[in-house]
Amino acid sequence: MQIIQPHYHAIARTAQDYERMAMSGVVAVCEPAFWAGFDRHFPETFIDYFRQICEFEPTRAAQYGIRHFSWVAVNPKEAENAELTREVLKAMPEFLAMPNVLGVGETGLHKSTKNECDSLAAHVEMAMAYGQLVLIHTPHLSDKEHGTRRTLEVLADLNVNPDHIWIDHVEERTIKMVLDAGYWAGMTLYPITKCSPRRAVDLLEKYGTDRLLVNSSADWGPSDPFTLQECVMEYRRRGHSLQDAIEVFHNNPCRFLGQNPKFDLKPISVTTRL
Amino acid sequence: MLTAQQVIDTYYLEARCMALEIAALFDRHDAAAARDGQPAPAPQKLEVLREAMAVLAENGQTDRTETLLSIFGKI
Repeated sequence: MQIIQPHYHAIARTAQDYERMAMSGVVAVCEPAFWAGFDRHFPETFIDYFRQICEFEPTRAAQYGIRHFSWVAVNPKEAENAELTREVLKAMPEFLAMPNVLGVGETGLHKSTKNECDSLAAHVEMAMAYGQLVLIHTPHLSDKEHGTRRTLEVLADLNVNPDHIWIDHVEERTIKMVLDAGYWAGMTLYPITKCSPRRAVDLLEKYGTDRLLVNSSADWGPSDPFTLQECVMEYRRRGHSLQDAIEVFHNNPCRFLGQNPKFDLKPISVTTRL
Repeated sequence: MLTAQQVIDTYYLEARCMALEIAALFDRHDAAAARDGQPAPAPQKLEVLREAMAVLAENGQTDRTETLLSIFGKI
């Protein structure tokens, strides 16, 4: 089965992951900019990082026949540094023009501070001005619900097209508010935090499959890109058809990401030839 | 050996994950029963899980793992 991994931090992973993903049906990965595990001090460090994910990573993925797309942003943790954020934002348009860059992300909130909210608004405004998609990170654990509500409040004050915005890392407390507001929602699968493959399938069964994305993220922490395949297996073993699985794990990413014409993979359907 | 605080800090997220999986199982069961319009015909496994959760919720318990193994041994 063909799978698209919509949120994947390839720079934190080995080539062996690419090889195994290719062998298990992954045809494309999308890599948002994120936190490196420490706070960077210099805008130039971000620019080199953007070059790595926009120029170098596609070459690594291509060795395994996987398409690689990118997003650029100052992640929520480092957005606390307002001066750094301003400087990086100035450099982002040249990356948004690159052939494999899909939009602005992951921006969002970590502790929902004023600086983070200002950064989120500035990122979203830039995305809308440049006709880009937006990928929004929501906070971890205890601040999840408040941070997601705050995200929706920030967006409500901006002139945005909800179809172009994907709010990620939703879980049982936050999925409904995101979908009700008209945005795309992403479920991020981790071995012990965020959402599990089984809980993600529960949510797909409860809310349907419209405007829902499933991803593994897979970064330098305890994470596993193959939780996405686990989710496919869980979905199929509950009796959902192959085509239904393709709709969730391939076609929905095509529908959201394909709003940017640079993402040229199209929805597919299973046909039987006699 | 770990201190009491280290035990909590080391294993909290893993235990949180397991607790959420159990909660999701109960929710999944209830949603299925509602869809089916009838309860599961053989709910004993769910009942022992509920019994086990009640043991964990009590303060002052000792040898919880052994107690739970005895409860699960009924099935």
